[in-house]
Amino acid sequence: MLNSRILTIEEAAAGIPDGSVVTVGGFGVFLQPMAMMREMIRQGKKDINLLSVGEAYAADLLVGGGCVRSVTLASFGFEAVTGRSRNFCKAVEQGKVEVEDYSHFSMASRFLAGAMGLPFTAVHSMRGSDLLDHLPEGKKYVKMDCPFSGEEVILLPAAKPDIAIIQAQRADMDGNLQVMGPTICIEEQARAAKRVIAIVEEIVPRSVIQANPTATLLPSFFVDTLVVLPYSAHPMASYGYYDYDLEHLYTYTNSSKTPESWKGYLDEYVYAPKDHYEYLEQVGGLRKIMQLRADPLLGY
Amino acid sequence: MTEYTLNELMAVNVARQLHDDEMGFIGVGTGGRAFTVAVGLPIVAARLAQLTHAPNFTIQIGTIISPDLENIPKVFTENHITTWPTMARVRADDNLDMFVKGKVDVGFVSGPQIDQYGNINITVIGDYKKPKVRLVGCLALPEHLAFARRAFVITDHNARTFVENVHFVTGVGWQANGKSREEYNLPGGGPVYVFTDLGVFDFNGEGHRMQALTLHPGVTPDMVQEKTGFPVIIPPNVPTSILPTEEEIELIRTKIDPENILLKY
Repeated sequence: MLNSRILTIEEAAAGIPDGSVVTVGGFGVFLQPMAMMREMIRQGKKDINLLSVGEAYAADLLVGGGCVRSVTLASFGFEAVTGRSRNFCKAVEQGKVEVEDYSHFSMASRFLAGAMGLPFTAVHSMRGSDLLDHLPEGKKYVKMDCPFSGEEVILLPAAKPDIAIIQAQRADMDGNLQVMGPTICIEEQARAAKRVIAIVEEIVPRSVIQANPTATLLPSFFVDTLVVLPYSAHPMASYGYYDYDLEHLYTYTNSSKTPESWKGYLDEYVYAPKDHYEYLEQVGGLRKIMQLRADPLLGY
Repeated sequence: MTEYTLNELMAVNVARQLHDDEMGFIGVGTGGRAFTVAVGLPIVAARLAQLTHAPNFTIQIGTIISPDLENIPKVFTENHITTWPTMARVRADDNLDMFVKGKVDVGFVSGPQIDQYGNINITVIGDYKKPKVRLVGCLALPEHLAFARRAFVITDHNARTFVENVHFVTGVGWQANGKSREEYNLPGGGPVYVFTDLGVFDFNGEGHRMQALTLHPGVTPDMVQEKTGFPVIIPPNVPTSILPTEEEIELIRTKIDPENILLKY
């Protein structure tokens, strides 16, 4: 079986070309590859096209870092804190990123079709809503009657990103990837992509994977690149390992209120730290890590 | 007379409309008042229904189905929701099946703009291409309003929310862009109730327009009209909303939300 290549986060990010169509795993406040977003900003990535479901924090950071040209999404809401995803919303209001909206389940279906290797999917969603009015008919959707039942359906093209960036809990040396807690659409996003970069908290022995193979969301041949970096979802949560950092989420959302304060945030937390470990020092170091860490006995 | 808060009054009015053996779908909320109307109030109403007239009412919240409402988390952080004892955890595309196949009985929804036909906008304020304010997007709102057997809208009453025409139809009410639900072939029941801080409303007014079903104690038709951006139908002698019983308030305060987490804001 083909195994993954283990790279540093810098090396893995360097392999993401400008202009790529990228999908990022996670949802709400968990399993979003935040360290990779910071590294992509540091490397000055340009014109990334995001195919998203609801990974608001990762997308908002990448948009705020100036890396994004277009966003296709179901929803970007900042869970846990009050307020909108400001960098994203402002970029749309100022016409700096192109945007394409779908319902949540339409995006999930598009990824499912991509994962199954099918060219399109048929959905019942979005009839009557204004969503379809803003998509070019024939190019982004087609209405047709089912050839078998005659029932009207809407066809949407499969989502087929160039690269999926997946945050997970652990893998073995070969890259058999285990994800715990809610997985939302991660599996479909990864299987739909031409190439998968996974970032894990730790490498575990094969025997740990073998003890619970049902937790293996992606066998190693789906994972092209593996990055090992603890607390790399911070300030998001990684179930079983650590909770999300509410204090830092408030720092983030408050910083995104004005261009000046946002520049300050990027300088302090993205550009100044020379690597991820310095970033962890910057957000509170060991004290913070111990606060967020899941109880090793309880698992949360 | 039983004393109650406005949130408790709203929760009781929602709970009384939930039926036994139904499943309600609750989304994931942000914080503050938005959390209370989107998550807190529906959870309290669901548990209250379980403890009173609907023992087999159950909920899906985000991706978990039938969490143990006897043990509601004290903190709504990710790890606590994830470790909430529950019967199933599903993936996003499984949820799609459940909506389309009519497994969701009650969809709890909210939004910054609602019009007289119950269309809801959570996507943009202003023009879609050049929005004045960009909002969250869509979530599963199109599915809630298209497929849930009944959608319950919970929101606060003000003229910025209740507008004559929504700027963008994210979820379809009783009539959108001149066409009815039937013409769009939407199988679900659509928005059936709106619960606000002023009263309870339905869409059984002429031409499926919003009308007052009951008004909360002390609320006058003028107060409602003042905070509604379209002519709202208020029948003469509109009854007062259901008032909480002592038992219901006792349950909310001692069993369901003793630390006032769900109805705080």
